[in-house]
Amino acid sequence: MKKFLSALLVICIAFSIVGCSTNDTAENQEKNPTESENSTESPIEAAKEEGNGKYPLTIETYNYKKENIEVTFEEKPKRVVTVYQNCIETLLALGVEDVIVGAAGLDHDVKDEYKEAFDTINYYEKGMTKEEVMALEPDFIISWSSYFGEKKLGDVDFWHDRGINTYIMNNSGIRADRKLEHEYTDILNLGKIFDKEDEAQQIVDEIKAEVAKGKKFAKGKEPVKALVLQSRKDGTFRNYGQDSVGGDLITELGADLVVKESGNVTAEEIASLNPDVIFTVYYSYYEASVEYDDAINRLKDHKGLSSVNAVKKDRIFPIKLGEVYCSGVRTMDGVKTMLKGLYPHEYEGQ
Amino acid sequence: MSMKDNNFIKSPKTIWGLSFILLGILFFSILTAVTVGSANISVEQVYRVIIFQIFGIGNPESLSKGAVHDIVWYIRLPRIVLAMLIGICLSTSGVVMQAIVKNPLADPYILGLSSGASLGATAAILLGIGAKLGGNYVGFCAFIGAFITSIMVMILANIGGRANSVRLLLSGMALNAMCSAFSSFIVYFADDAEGIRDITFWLMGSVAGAKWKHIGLIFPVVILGLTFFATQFRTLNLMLLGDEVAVTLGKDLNRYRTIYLVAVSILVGFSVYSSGMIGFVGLIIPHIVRMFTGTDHKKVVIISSLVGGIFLVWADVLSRVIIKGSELPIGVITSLVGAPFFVYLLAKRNYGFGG
Repeated sequence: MKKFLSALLVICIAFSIVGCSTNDTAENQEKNPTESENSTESPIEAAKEEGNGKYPLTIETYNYKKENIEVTFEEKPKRVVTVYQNCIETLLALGVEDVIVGAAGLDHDVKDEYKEAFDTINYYEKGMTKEEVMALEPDFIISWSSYFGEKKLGDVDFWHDRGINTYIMNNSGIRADRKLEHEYTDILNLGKIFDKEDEAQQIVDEIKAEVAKGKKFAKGKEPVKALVLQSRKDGTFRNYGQDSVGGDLITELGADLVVKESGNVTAEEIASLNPDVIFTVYYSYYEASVEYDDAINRLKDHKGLSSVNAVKKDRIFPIKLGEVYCSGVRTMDGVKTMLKGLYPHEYEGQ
Repeated sequence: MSMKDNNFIKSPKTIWGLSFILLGILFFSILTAVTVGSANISVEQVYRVIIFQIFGIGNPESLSKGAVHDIVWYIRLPRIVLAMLIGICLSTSGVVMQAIVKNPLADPYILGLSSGASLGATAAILLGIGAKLGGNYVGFCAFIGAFITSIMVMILANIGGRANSVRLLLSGMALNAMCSAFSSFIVYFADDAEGIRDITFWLMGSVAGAKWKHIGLIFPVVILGLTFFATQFRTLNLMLLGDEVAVTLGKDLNRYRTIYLVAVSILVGFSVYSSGMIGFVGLIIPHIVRMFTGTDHKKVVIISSLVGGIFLVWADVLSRVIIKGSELPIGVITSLVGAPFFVYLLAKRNYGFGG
């Protein structure tokens, strides 16, 4: 037994020596790119002061730890990996599909106007692994914060060390507040990065113009009392409060969001607040989905809610999650759905 | 426990040889596993990178950077080495835990460790606790949760009397229930669909987040733990015989139980930190090994650890290739493959737990 143990120890020591030495090389390698990055920092900053919209270009984003970071683009990204609905659609809307080397993670088909462009990109039906992303040798990765989790791509530093920039969508859970404003920021930022500022500005301006209609319609009237809810299978409800795009939109459109806090809301509360309009959020992974009917019926068929104005006057409107969560260019659709629901006569008569 | 056909494994000398054969298989497994993955890299390229990294042989220009290098050296190899270490860690802990509570159903997580870890992970993901601790803050919180829970189990089991295996199990159950309740409480009030999905995935366990940095941390812990328990086979054997027998032989098992439990908590805590919870390995590997070697811990500890390492390396390979383009959580694979194999062995052999 002694012999055996001593042999085991020898093996362990041998292994740990190999382990240590490999660690050293690994660290050295990680250091080198950072050093070179540091040395290039000063000219970049100088250039930033000189002119706007030109490369090198510095953009604010986040890391997975939810800290503010800056990434610098030496030139227009040429090999882009973009994962999830709004990340893909925004790029297609900006007309830069030719730089996409890999895309994944759509919840629904891309909007009809982008279908043609979408067919030209390399889409991974079953998602991409870290290995596959690495093998594509991208120079820029756009995604939601969750994609940079420890078990997915890993935090952004790993990619930055390899000269690969990252951008995390502002409303994807990286900030405590989800706001309409952030959707604009994302579109404008991506516009800058891909040197498509005019296109980005146009998309944002169009949405802003549509949003402005809301306040115009609401002028001189009592604000419409509205709620954005998600009804669950067990008969409970989740409220989309002020800190969600859905809730923020209600306020921006000149209506009164009756529950400001996000989180659980009981049927009792809904009944006593008596909203005029309820938007009910559904996940539409399939076009004709059961979720759509459920989202309406769970509210309509709720006996306790039968005296609520929205139910009595049949003003319960389904709204796709993709239009109020990390919505990107679909924000427009969200705004339209809400305008129709909140101000049906005004919207028709415009 | 008559297994005549397997007596050859029971003699001390062949145990020696068997360990070395298993070590060889482990080494071979790692070398094979590293060539498998979703990116298309030739076997030759893979080995060139590894040989360059370890021995410095080859052309540094093409082998020290680039996508192929990073895939092999920063993505594949760390996760394979981590899988091996976690396998060693969990099967050793499983053997010891089964002896401590004198129960064949015990696994490394049984004494409140799993729910403690879940509570830690839930608090981290949904409440953002410890987000400043770095990329793996979820793992860190889970480690803290698991460790605190297992210490509390020990304290609880020792209140109002000496801890024995039954008291330990009952305290574990009580704290399990408490931690689960707290977790559910947080989940209900946080109400964050994506966060909840994150937790579910996290709890399934995965070695995808492996980094050399973590391995440098967990490697010495695992080896120290294994060496320690390999020397403790006499006490472990005695534990199966029970407290009464131990007392007549002049040993106070309570003290050893405490020491072992702290050691196991540290081991399992580290594995939770780096890979979440991987079920079934710690439960079945010891049983499978006992079927072949008998119940003497002199053999069971070492052989289980090696078999556990090999098993998890291959489980990780399967998890990477079974569905193209995505990686199944390794915990799903261990149960999927492990359970039927276990049933087969149970049905085929005349098996006893010992004690």
